[in-house]
Amino acid sequence: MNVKFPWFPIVALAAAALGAVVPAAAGDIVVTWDPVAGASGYHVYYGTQSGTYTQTVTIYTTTGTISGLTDCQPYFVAVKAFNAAGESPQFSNELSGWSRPAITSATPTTAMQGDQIVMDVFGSNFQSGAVVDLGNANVVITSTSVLACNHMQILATVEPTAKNIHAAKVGKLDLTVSNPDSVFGMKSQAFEVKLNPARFDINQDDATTKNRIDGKDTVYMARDFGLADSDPNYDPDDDFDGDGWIDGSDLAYIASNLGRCWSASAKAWSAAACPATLR
Amino acid sequence: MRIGTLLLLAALVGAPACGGGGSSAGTGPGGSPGPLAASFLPDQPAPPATTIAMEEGSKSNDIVTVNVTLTDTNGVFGAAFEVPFNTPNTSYVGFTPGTAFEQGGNTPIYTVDGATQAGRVIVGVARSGVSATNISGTKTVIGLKFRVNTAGTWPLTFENATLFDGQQPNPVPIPGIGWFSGAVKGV
Repeated sequence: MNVKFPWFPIVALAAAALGAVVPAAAGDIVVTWDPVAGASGYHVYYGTQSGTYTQTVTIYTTTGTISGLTDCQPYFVAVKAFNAAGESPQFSNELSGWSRPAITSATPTTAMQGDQIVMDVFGSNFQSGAVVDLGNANVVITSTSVLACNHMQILATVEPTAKNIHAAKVGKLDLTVSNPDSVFGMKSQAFEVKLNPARFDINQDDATTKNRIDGKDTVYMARDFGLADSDPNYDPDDDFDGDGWIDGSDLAYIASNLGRCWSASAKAWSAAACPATLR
Repeated sequence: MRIGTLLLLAALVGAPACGGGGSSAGTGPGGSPGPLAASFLPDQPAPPATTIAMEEGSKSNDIVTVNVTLTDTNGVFGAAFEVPFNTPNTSYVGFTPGTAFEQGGNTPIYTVDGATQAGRVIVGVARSGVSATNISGTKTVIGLKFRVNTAGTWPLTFENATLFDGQQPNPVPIPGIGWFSGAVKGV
């Protein structure tokens, strides 16, 4: 939260300019301001109603942390400078804000490539208009709802949901909630994208071996092996782990399942799932 | 993992899958059991153009390498096939890389499995990258090593066999390829 000082007419204190927003923990608000010439300190006033400041803290630098705030509650803050001659008679401009959003949990915690999920995010200080980010361009958040200040819900698509779409990279993702005032909270590795093994059968053109991993899948993958997603010949269907490379990791998924067939019930590749003619 | 690790991957995939040999029916010096002498009998000893054929490679005691060869074919990118074999009378031991897809300094991808399905070797071999190659004469695609566990003649065949060109985005089967197999023999 940034505070801009007005002119201080009585004491010989000059005006101040905006400072910078500094991260704070949940329950805290950090206020920064530029120094005022002649000031020996600052009184930071705050309360839950605009213009009515019920509490104050004294700060001798140009950054103050207001702690112990109630979650899901807007606070209004203004600052006065002071020196031996007294306190400036006017407040700075008033700013309002919430404590930093905090994330306690998110469910589900995992999803497979190709899934569409409704994720519930629980925590505190989620403001109306807050947004969620999972830091993965291929986990597409299609809608966000703030159901309460401690509960958000998002609808997300974990790509690929069709052929020729870049897969979401497998692995754990950080979840970030950003309020409209750009103050954000993050939970590290809150969500994991898992590999979808059904994608391994990239040769679907041959009916005799459809739903079976065989040498034809190897040949298909070899065609764009080593290519990055910046290459026009990159085929996203072959990039199983979604890391942007058709590489040995992707090939290993084929190699390690060679000769196995898809079991729809188990959602896995197994030798037992193959027809007798291919055993 | 990048291209540089391909050979390692191929080696891992191609590690001997059926190392345990069966009993040998031959007789060694002094009357003790000795190894069989394995060989391969090709259906087509002199494969013509545009064919893939099994030919006899190196052999040692009860193990014979069956070279899968490709003859006079242009625009080749990869091959996929399976070789059912008679078990327990024969065992798959492992593979050796060929020379056909290595042309031009390419580092082909080999995926070979002989363990997942009993009595079946599943093979995928392809050039890595975007270039197909022309095969002049007869060159080996891959060598498959078999151990003969029981005296007799045991056929090998090709199944689900396709030779691919190098079209984008996916290779396309090359039509008109002849496939010739044969039999391993133990005496």
